[in-house]
Amino acid sequence: MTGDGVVVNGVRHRLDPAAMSRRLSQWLRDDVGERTVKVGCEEGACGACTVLLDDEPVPSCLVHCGLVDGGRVDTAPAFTATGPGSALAQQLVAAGGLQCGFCTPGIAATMTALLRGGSVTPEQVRAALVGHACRCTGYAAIVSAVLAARDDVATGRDDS
Amino acid sequence: MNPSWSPAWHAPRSRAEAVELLRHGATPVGGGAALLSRAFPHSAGSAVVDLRAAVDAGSTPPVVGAGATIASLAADPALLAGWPAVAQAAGLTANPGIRRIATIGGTVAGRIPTADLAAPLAVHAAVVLLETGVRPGPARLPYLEYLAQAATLGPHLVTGLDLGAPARGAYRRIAGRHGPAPALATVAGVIDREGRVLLCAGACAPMPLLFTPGELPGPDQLLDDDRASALYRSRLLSVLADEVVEALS
Repeated sequence: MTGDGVVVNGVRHRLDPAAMSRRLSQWLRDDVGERTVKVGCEEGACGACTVLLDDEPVPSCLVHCGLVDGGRVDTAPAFTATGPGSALAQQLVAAGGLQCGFCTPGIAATMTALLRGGSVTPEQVRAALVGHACRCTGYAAIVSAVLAARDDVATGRDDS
Repeated sequence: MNPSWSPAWHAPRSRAEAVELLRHGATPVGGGAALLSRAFPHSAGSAVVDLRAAVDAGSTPPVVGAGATIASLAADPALLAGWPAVAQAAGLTANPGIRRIATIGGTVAGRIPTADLAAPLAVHAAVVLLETGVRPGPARLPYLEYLAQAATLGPHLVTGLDLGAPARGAYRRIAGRHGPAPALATVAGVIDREGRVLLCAGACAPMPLLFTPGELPGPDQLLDDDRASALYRSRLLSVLADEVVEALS
């Protein structure tokens, strides 16, 4: 963290002094225009605002912007463009792993990080879903989609 | 957090500088999770001290830097082997996303009664490492004494923890649901050098309560609030203590 601002989806953004103490989720939506970052509970419980901070999924509502100064943030448009994230996005649609879509960018962030880490078991997927609330699908379709994306990545059927 | 809160942001490089800023009423931020959460109403000052450069985020047990994240403690092989009650509690704290940002320093200095790590730290007789600025160098205060005295210590910086001697241990918690739900009761246990089982109850009283098997804290010592009655908590402690003792046998 060097004080050079924050690289969001490959583009560097300056943090003005007033932004340092703001929630990262708020800044991403209001200042950067990243409306795929959804804001739900604002206490880290629902997972809707999860983004990749230096490749680690974190609830952006609980992160001060000042703490990511010099860091890199990726949101859904970036991490679903290629590789495991792309495969996951396709499988979420195919498996019916989303309905209203509010929780989807956050879940996709966590599951993309999981898929990037290599082999993934159903138990790992369920454990990673702790801290993500989906009120539409009941989770089973999400687990199926992640496992199907894992298989796509393993067999080279993803976009990477 | 008040949406209009816009304090000055300071990122000191040294502990002395950080303590000086705290002395002037600045709000410390490590991971920041509790400070921003609506679940924990904090009063925030007109300035923030970003502690990342001032405290160590590394962990070389028995010493753990205040900046170490809860997730890093849960995955630390040395901690899992030598201080399993601490590692297990870290792995059951909140949810994976929060564990990646929350720090042990914030957990200790925040003195949140329902913190999962409170009982394991107490039963291990962990020592809190402090920088007060009053005299040079770090001060040391046993964890339970720190909890009792922190409000009267004046401005200070938690720089780390000394977990003490390694010991076989186990941790159990119960809450209303999985995920980030605060525990209704927790029990941590260790086997000391003489082979005795030592236990500690957490999340069910203003302070962690040390006890031995068969001498459970009574309802008169436990919280009685809208989340659970003291009697219910005493029953929970009985079950959790049995589970911990069984895990250690």
